[in-house]
Amino acid sequence: MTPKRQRRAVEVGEYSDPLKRYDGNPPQDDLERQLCEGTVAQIAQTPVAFISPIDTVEDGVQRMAELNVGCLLVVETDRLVGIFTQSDLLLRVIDRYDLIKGTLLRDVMTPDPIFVRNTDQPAKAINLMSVGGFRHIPVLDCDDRIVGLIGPRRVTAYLREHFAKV
Amino acid sequence: MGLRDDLLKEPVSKLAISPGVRFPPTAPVRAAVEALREKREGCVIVVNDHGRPEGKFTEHQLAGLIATRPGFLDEPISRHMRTAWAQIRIDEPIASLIHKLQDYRLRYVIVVDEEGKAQGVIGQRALMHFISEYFPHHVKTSRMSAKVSMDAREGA
Repeated sequence: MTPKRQRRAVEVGEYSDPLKRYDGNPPQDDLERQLCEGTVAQIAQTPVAFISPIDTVEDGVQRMAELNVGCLLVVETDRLVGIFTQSDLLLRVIDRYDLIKGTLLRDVMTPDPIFVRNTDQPAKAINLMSVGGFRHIPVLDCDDRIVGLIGPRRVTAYLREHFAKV
Repeated sequence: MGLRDDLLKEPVSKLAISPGVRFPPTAPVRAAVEALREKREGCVIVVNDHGRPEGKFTEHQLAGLIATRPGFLDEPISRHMRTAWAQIRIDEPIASLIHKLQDYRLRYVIVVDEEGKAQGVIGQRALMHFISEYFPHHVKTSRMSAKVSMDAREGA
């Protein structure tokens, strides 16, 4: 039989709150403060390029080329159902374009994409881009309506605007 | 020091510089596309025999080429590479990179050493990695999927 462990008495003043570091370090400058206390809505880009899931791959490629954009949000009855990006083009389309150009976009898009809320902090979106490797992240409001798109170019523009302000 | 100071003072070498995918100008676009896919990169550096960059080819060009140039995959990359590119020295501050990305509306900048030889490629992703290190507590903890409801009820 294992001996019962004796709980050591805590000296007065010895207690240390294990959650005291939960909030992390406070922002060191104004830029950090804006990125961790502001909202994605301040950075998100609008308007966004949309397409329907029942459009064809050829329609998607043409639209991307015409608008010179890196991604299209796939929308059905005002709801985000997928995203079609240059990575999809590279991974699933380019080698067999002639065979699948008549295929519906919903068969080659990335379904149920990761998104952020317009009230989330920009730092969260940047972390998602970094950790998840996403270049474009749709921004939705609390009713799941699309209100924008955040990507690295908008983030760098925001950083530069900040340099200009200081 | 905060993020702003670090962006202004820290050199580009602090970022995760990708060695990049390099091809000679005579390589077919198909080989470059396959390399981009395998290495999960977005940019090919086209280099000459001396290792100096002559151009770049990015995945951003693909949609336009598919739409307008059938058969481009078997053409040499020199026919489709962008000969106007931006480069940055490895010891320049990160703020310079931000300016170049914005000024020229680029995703990638070629990193060169003092002799002008290509060291790799750096893009917006590396910059996002750098910035995210300042916000380790700001991870997204709410639901990650666009799916509104669960397929089955949770629990028994």
